[in-house]
Amino acid sequence: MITHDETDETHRATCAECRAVWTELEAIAAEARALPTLTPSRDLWQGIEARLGAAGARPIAPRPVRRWFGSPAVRYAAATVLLMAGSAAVTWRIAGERPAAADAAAAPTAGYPADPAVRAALGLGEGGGRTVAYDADFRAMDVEIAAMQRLLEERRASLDSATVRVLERNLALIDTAIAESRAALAADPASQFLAAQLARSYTTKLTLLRSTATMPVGL
Amino acid sequence: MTLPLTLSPPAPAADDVALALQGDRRAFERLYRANVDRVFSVCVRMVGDRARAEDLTQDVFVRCWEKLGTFRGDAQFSTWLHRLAVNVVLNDREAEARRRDRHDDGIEDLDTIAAGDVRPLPVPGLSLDLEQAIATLPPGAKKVFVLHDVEGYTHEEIGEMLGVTAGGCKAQLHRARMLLRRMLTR
Repeated sequence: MITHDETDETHRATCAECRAVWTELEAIAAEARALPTLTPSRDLWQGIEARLGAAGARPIAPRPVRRWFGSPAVRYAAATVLLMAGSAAVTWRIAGERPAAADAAAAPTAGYPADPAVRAALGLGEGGGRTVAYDADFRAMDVEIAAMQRLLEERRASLDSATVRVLERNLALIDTAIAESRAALAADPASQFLAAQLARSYTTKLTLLRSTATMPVGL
Repeated sequence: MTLPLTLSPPAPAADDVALALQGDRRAFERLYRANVDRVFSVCVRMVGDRARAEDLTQDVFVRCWEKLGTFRGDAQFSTWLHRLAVNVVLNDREAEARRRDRHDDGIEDLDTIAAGDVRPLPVPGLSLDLEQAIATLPPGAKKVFVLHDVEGYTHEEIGEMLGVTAGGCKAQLHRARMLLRRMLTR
């Protein structure tokens, strides 16, 4: 006995009756999408305006956020904890999804850049191995780095000047290493060694940013 | 025909929202006039009663005035208002169901409703157009059909609004279309 089910595409392919029903249902949906906008039989504004008076002279303004977390130090700490928790999740996902070939060469922690040249060199470029989740993870990493840098900018005034000098010098060195690795990768995109080197530089940068963001004020 | 030079273009919704937030009722009236037909359309199609839909349309705009401070500008004002209208109608239907002491909270149990459970037609013997046919749908099927096929919400969005699964929503939509097909081909 045949069970007719017009929602079943496979069944529809062989059943003219269900195909006809389905066509009619699709036509109803199409007609519904084209239904015109309707107009009230009278102007409703006066009734609305009369009730606005009862509701108050003006709309209820957005309620200000209660700053129970008052001090900047507490805000920095909370933001950092959230960022690091997000980062840990991203790291876990990236580590879990990374193709085996890249796994062997790349650093074991997070910090993989969104740079297309680097991703291509790691086997994670536009070709196989890339997933939607992977792209989302890289975007998340970029967001974290940007957030850490913003956090540091805000903290700059509260940090010891000697600490700031050391931090800036180290970041400059890492950025130089990143630039050199990128240039070398551009010349030799297939080099797993260079790709891993670049990934390690990114990891180092991110680690430094994180540790500085979590550093107590006054150090 | 050349328009008079003094005719200024309508203010963008974002400007009127900002003005209305400061208590400018003329700005809010402009928002009303720009959106009333769309709000009324969803109301009347979901409740199937023009007089009740006009009352609900007024409720929507009063609610909009009260809640304008919560509009964050993430979506277009018209999209936010439309969603507000849907919520007002759904809340009204739930309250109505409670008043009638029966549970008509969005999705009827498909197993307990006979296939022929179609509400009486407004004018027996008269051929129906789609608009009339929608008005005769059972409440749960009507809500899903209007929200999905007329208003363009996804099954996931409707499921969230009605507190049902996307699968249940799909089943209800299919049922609504089948009921409409039967009514329209009589």
